[in-house]
Amino acid sequence: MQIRELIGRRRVQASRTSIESNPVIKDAAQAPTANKDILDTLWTFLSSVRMAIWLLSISAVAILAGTLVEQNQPMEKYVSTYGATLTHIMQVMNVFDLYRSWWFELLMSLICVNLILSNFNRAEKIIKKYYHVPARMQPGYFENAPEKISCTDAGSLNEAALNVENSLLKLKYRVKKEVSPEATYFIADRGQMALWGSFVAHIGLLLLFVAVIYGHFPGQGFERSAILLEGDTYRIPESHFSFHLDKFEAEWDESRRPRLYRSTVTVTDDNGKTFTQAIEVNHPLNYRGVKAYQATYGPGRILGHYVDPQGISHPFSVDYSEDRMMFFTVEPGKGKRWVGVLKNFIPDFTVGPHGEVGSLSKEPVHPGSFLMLLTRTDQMPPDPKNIQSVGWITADHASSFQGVKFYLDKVSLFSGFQLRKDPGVKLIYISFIIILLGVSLTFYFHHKVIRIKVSPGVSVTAVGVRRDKEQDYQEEFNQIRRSVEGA
Amino acid sequence: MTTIMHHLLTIIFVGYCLSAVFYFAFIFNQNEQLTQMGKGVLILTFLLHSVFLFLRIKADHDFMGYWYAPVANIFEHVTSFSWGLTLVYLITETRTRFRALGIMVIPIIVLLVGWALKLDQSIVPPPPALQSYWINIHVPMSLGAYGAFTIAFGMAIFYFLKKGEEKSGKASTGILSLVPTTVMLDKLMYKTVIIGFGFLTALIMLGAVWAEESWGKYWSWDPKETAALITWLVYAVYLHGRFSWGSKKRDTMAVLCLVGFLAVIFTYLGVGFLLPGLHSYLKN
Repeated sequence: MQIRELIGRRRVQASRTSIESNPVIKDAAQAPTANKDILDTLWTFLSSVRMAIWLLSISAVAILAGTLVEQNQPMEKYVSTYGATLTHIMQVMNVFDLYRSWWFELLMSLICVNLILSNFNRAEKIIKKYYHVPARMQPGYFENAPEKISCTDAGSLNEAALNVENSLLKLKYRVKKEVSPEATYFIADRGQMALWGSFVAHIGLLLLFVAVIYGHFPGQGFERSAILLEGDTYRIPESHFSFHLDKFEAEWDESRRPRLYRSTVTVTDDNGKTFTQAIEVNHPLNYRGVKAYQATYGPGRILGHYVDPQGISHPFSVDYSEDRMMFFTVEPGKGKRWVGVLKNFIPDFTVGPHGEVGSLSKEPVHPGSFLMLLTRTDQMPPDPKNIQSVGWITADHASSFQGVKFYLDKVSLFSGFQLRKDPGVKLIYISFIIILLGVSLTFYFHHKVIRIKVSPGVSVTAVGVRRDKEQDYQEEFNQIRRSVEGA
Repeated sequence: MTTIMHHLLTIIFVGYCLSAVFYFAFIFNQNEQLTQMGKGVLILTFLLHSVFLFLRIKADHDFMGYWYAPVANIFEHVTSFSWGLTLVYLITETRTRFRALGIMVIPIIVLLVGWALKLDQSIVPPPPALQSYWINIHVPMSLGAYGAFTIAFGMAIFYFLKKGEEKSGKASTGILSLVPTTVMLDKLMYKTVIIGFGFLTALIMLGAVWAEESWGKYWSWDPKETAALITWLVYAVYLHGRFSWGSKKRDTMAVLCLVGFLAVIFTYLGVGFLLPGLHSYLKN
């Protein structure tokens, strides 16, 4: 109701110009001007291009702050970077989670309001331009035009008018003619679609906002991650299927850069349907509206073996932990029972010229770890003298203790998945197409308007009226000139 | 092969330097022949640069077994971008006959190719995230966008030089006599910006579609994404300003072209090298 009222108000404003030129009803029209109320002012303010400029500028500065200040980091990190006082101020301003702060959301909401209101105004103007173009000009219009062509000796008035009309039609112009005793006026235009360009682009932007909100609406979509080791099965709570990680493969080039990583999964849905598919970066699984992306990978389980003094090999495995020591049981025979302790995991093990241990890369291509052994398992806490440092172990380098040789064979990798359902995505793509269409129509297509006066005498004056674009009308001017002079 | 390619790139670098010398000589002697020679050398170097890129694409194909645009690492992107910038410049100069613009733009091309010479030129497999046909669609858009904005930047610099001269009321002398009026420069800047803006809009949107396919999220507020969005916003302010103010605030428009170019540099280099994020392929 209010919107309709406001639209009505805008219409009153739009028609005010023509009313003001009529002295009889001028006085009556002045009443609403004097009573310009707060809603009217608010509409004008919120729908203005100036407002858009401010909102876009503030958004740019806000996003710059969000780019320079790393988002959602531990508070200690901010304190060490910015100091306690500045961190406090930034925290109050929600700078550390800027894109979800109330003021950023308010900013985006204001942009939406500006888009909606300005598009109302825009549509009104476009429709007016499209359908209600007067052929008659204000006195002096042709005389004061910045650039124009004038032809004299153009034959008879009717003949010249006909030639002008034909040449415009030949140039695919839409022609409107008005004949008056003193002259024949033409107003012709072409490329009317360009008029809608900015309207379409802004509708596309609005749709983009709607799509983003729709995708984040409670109950519509979800986003979660899952870490799986080979053999694990994961059921997505919000969906009707589960998937089992059959195999995870990773390959690296000579420079230790990942060349490929791929998960082979078997999907089983509640109806009993099952199928196997490989998931790679750029090739997600897309099933029943849920997408599973290959997001990450890393060390999941450390696999090794030890050879006892009798020459018998025993495998061991231990779940990888980034910041804790990892334990496994060692039974080297003769009823002995030790605890193996792995610490300082090195993903790409190397030994420097001075015996220093390091990692060539972050990729687990040549894993190594430092091994310690707890030889008495009955003491808690263990006596430090019963903790033996054994040494570094890798696949090709063993360390031994009391004739038992330990090897670290490989690391089985976990596969990290990003699981997502966003019903807004299709709408987002549609909005992209609409925005690109709008931008193209606005900037690369031109609505050309040409006004022509054919006066008895006989002279023809033509003016291209697109602002700052007179040079774009040379083809039209030449065509009109030729058609008139040819006659 | 790598050595031959390096020599070829060195010749291209020398070619661009020579072209820059001709354009700079134009400052001291406004003989049109100088820029014609500069443009001639520029066209020849550009053709050689095209051959270089073709050979690189071929070498990438032989190594990886499939075709892709040579934009998969920093070396390839810098050589492709300098090629794109030369192309955009040649089109602009041919269409506008604004030859003095070369003084602003060609040194940037020289810097880019000189930088490329210092970079590791070996062919390496693109990281898995870049192994997608989207690389051929998304990344080349950046050549058009950044190229056009660099040209607009050059025009904005000339705008202020010309403005100073027009303000002083003296008759144009030297190189500025061959620079269009501030009114015309304002129009040229607008025409260049709208080309860049179209490319940038497509760049961001195609990037979002690729991100949805690759990372599982069309928008992650990743520094590269946000920096590109900042650039888009700056030029959106420019376009709204021009619509609102017409040609009344030409100075503000030119300032926005300078700010926009800073945003381009921030997006292209600052984010890739300084800030962590999903787009940090440059560090490879």
